[in-house]
Amino acid sequence: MFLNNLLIFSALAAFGLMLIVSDWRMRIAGLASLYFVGFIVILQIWPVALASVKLISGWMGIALLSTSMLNSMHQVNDHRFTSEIIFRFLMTALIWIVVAAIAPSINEWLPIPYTNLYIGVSLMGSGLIFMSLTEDLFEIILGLLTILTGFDIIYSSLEGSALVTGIYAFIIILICLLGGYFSPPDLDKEEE
Amino acid sequence: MNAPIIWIISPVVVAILLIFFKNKSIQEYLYIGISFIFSVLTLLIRIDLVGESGFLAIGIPSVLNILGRSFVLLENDKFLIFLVYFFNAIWGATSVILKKNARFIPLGLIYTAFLLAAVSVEPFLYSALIMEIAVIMSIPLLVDSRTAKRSGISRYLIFQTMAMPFILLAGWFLAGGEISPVNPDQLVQATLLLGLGFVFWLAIFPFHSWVPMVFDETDPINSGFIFLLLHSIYFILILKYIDGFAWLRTYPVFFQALRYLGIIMASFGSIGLFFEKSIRKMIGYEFLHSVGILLVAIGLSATRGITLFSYLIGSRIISFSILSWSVSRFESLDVKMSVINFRDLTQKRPIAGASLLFSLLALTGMPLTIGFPPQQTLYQLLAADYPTILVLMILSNILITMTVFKLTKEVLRKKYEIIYLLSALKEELFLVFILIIFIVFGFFPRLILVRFEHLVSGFEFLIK
Repeated sequence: MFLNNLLIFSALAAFGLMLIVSDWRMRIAGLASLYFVGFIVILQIWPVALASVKLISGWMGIALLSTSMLNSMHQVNDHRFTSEIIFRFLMTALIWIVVAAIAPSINEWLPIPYTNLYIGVSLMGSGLIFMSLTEDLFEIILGLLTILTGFDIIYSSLEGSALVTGIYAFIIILICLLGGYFSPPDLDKEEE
Repeated sequence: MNAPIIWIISPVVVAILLIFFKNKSIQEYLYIGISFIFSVLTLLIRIDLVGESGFLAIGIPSVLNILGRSFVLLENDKFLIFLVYFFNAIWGATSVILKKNARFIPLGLIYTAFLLAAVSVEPFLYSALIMEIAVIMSIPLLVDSRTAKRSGISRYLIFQTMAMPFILLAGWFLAGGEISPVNPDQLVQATLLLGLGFVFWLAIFPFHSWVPMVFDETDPINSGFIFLLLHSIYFILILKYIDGFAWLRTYPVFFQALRYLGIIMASFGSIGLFFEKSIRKMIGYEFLHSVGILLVAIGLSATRGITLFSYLIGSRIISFSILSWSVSRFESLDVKMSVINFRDLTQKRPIAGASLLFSLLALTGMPLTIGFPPQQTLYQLLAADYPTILVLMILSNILITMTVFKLTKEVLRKKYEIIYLLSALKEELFLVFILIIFIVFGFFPRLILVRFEHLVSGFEFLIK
């Protein structure tokens, strides 16, 4: 029980970090924590070898994103108004409350542990909000990865296929590569 | 050696090797040649018919097993394989002739291989994952990394990614339900999930906004290639789902939803096209209109609409290709791609202008065009059972025809100098040739359209 609550709290806290901070490094750290929480959740159902594929692919993707952002001329470190941060946080908190209210009904459809369902649906909803409040492709990629992490937690609880795990990991890495593709290198920095 | 290795793995390897060619021209010619070889191989190779090999025919198995799942390309799939590789070769050749430097060369072969992998994977519910890979791969083929306008591309990525969870969850619901669903509640849930997945895939209202935006942000030679292939494969997958699940074939609400969504899309597309000023966006709206018409055809019923669908998709692939090529031909001009400037554009590229107008007419199903016979049959079938949908469809086609008249009026506002036409004939010989073939197809549409029946010949429960 304690571990389950801790996992839920950690997942929400990691996403909260991504939501509130403006520094892209902290956001990436938040996403990396999300992958770790996802790994712990999936570890309760799957063998370590298969569950670690999720963690490794996620972190590999994060490494790719970070490398491209380091060299990018477009580093999302814009100053945010406090009101914007509060608005974003409240919107996401609302999603978490709604998910808490509807999770038992969804659990009738999807017979998986409540912790997995709550974390999965909350992350999918939060990722959607995160993505819909921006036009920046880097933030959209972070939002998409959050949604996919949430879905991964739910789907892994339902099915454990090696092919699906492999393709899913490939998709995560491709999305991160796409993030890198749209963060062209800073030519001035390269010349230095 | 088996069929998936030849038509899925080999193109990926070839495309990777082509990347290392520094000379763009050699890369382009090899791309065209190899795509053509892959399409011709479908005529020489027989799948799973080892004992019956004829002259020059080689027999190979159909299955490739990877990680406990199979990729299966059957004899019935050969027309689809031929079509996608021939499509690659033709579009590659067009981009070379029009000097377009298309982005899909050489990685288009990997994109195509993933699309075929999605069609061939067993259980086919996993196709959503492979389609997602194809979608992600298509983005660098559409736009440059430094492009400023990318809201459409972002939306395209988001909406296509959103489809994957729904289809996979529907797949889980339906596991073991190929013959009958476990209970009625599950039927509703699975249909809802599957429907949402299809809605995201096909960019159906209200998730359609990215289509005109992406067409506006990309060169039609790239967007046409990517989306014609992508949506054709989506439709094949939808038919595979309908063919695969007995309960879905007999669930009237599903077909009703397809008809209504289809007519909404056709209407949206035609209204958008009529009021749109940007020529690039107009192709996007025409694309939505075409998706709508194909959906209505499938929605007629599991069996009635299927052959008609094959004719419609055939005529639309040809017409839409010519529409994209003609708009792409305007791109090199230093004139804004707007309806207001259509006269100037046509003055400099008269054959491209004529091809654009003629292909739009073909897409509305005008007589003496390749689009006429299937559109006429669709009207007849709709008139028998769904008159409201028929009226709306006719109205949507009238709107597109009026757009063609509006564009023609723009051209005729000023007297045309014959000298321009003569010089254009020399410059645009390729489009002249394509336009002549297109007009000939209009006189003898069955010659080409009957071939597209093979596209659906593998759906044993739909072809009766």
